[in-house]
Amino acid sequence: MLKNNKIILAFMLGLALLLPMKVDAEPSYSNVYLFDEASILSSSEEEDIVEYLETLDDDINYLVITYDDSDFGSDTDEMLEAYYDAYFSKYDDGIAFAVDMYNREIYISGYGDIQYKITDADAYDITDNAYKFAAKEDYYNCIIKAMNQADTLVNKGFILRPMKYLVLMFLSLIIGYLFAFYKAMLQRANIKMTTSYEDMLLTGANIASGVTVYNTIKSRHSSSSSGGGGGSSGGGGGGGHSGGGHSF
Amino acid sequence: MATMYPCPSCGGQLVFSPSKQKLKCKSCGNLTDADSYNGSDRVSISSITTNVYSCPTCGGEIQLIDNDGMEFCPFCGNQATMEEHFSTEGAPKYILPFAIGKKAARNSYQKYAGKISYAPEGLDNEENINKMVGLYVPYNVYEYSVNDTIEYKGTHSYSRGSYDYTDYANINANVDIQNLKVPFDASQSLDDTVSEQIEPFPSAQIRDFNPNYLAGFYVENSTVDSDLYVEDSVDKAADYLYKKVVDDAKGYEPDGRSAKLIKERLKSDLVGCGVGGAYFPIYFMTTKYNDRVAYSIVNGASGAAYMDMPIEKSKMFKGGLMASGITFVILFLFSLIANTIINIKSMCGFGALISAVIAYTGAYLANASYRKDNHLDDKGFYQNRDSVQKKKVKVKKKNGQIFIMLPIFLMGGLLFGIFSFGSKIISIIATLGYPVSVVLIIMALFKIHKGKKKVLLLGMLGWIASIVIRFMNMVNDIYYYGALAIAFIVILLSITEMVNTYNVFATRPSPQFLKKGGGLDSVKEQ
Repeated sequence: MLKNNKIILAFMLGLALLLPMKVDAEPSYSNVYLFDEASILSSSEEEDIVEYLETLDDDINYLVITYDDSDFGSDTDEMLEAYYDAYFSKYDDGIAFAVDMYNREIYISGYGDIQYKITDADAYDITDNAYKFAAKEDYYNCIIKAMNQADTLVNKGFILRPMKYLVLMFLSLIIGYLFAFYKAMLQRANIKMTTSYEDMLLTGANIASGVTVYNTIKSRHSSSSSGGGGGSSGGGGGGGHSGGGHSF
Repeated sequence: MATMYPCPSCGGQLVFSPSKQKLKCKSCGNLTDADSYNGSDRVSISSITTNVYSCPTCGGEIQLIDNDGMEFCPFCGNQATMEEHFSTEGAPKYILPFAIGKKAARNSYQKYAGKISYAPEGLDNEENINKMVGLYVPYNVYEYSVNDTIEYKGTHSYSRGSYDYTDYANINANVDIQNLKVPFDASQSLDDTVSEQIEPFPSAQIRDFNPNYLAGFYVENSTVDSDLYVEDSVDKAADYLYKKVVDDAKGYEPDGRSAKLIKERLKSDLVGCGVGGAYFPIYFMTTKYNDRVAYSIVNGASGAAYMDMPIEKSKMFKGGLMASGITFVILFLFSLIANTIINIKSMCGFGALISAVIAYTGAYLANASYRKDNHLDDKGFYQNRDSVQKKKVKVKKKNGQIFIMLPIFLMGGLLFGIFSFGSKIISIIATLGYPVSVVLIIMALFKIHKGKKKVLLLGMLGWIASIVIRFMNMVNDIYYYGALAIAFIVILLSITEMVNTYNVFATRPSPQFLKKGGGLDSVKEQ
């Protein structure tokens, strides 16, 4: 009897081991990555930046990299895209920021739908507002500032663009005053009434011309091509990204 | 003193009425035919005795047929007691009577002046316009005849159905002209560049001289040698006959070589038949502008107007400020809609080009002002060939408005470079701003001659600053913008100085006549 109980117990144990078991575990995927390959950030700064980015939108990927070489090519935009593509799909919504110590440039890119919320001009303005920190070697605040402004734009907020307005103001002043001056000059140059009077007087005048044609050249009209390619840009969805940078 | 044109009805003063084309009595309004009227024996077909008034300030002289009196010199605008003497001059051969009255002349002036922005105050007020007076200025009428047959080759292109045709033909043009009258300004006071603005006069209305048409108007006698414009009159006659020959050729156009040969042939065929003096009608007004004068002239037969019109700076700057505001809004909206990047480095190219354009404009205006102030394009001022050759005076050719439009197009094109669309082609266009600016600076240096160099130098300063800033390639934008701000302030100062230079160009120095010259008076209302 005891021997049978042991056999039954062993069988049940073996069966239990063979049964599939559901295990609840934490997934390893993250939407925030930071790589300080140029070693320009301290450990605490790295943690703060990651912590800050994790408070932002969960559906958007965030990538921050710093580097000081050009193994993958000299273009900051290309390098950033390569990094982003290594960790995410470049079709996924995401914002990537690079501090390129080799080219001395900061760069921000938007991928997926973000490229439409942060355009090239927006990217340029963000880096225009943030580069001053990098110039002072305050890379932590540079990154925070840039990502903060990017997040503002993604959430349809407003960022200041003082340099853009300053440039527009300069241009407008110059163009406005030059326009006024050349307009005044042109008006004065055109003060003249046109008349149909003959300014010389002919009397007893007779001018008669005889024409003898000695050669005629005949050619057919060149036909205009009405066909031609449609030239429609291929559809294909996705792909592409926005981006802009500023040297420091 | 009794009038030289007494009314046959009441004895009052007769004056010629352009609207009626008859002599009209100022007292009773009676109309008398000008051709058949016999007035005082002081005026006849062969000689005219006039009261001559000389201005002690500028030396200008005005001759009055009748005794209307003079209050100030219309050439220099100074109120001074005019010195009076009498003169008997030979009468001219022809006269072109006034066809428009003083009121119509004033309306013509106001019509043109009203279209001009930033006009100085007072130029169009009633008191000023009332100073406009009717004056007969002397012209020389060069007479030619031609009788020749000219052979040349011409082409005529046309389309029929699906085909294009070009016919090549030999053309025989028989040119038989008994008399061609070519008028040229023989007035020392009327600058050649001004007279060509109010020409042509309606030559078909030229008639044999009759002193009755002078009644009520002032006269300037010629002090210019008749042989001074002989070559110019031959050129003008040949150009005029060339157009007639080509128009008669049934649509056949001569090629470039044939055109030149036709003109040369016509020039050699012209037979001179003498030079006759003539009086042509103008309305004249002088306005003082600081230490210079501005002339406004209306053709008394056709109504064509010319006016020296400086720019009122304060009005222009207000206008510029408004234009700047509108430009800012447009550029801002454009940058939002087109989502463009403002490329700061391209601002340097824009600054360099703008400065170069200002430098060239300043050089052009300064050179033109120098030539005008020294009468280097006015043969009549020097009166005879020796003086003309000594001063190297030549008839100025119009250079059109290319120099004004070109920089405007260049600037418009370069503006694209600032609003980068990420296109390499746009970047290339932006980069072209630098070599174009170099070309403009070189052209400006050649253009300036003896003109004042202030605007040129300011423009070059802004140009150098823009290029230096670009090559410095500063990292920190704040210094970049600061340096560019300085460059742009220089540009704004240049614009101010450019307006000053333009105002010198648009006016004239108070006249100083070499010998006798024309003058005007405050003619009373006719």
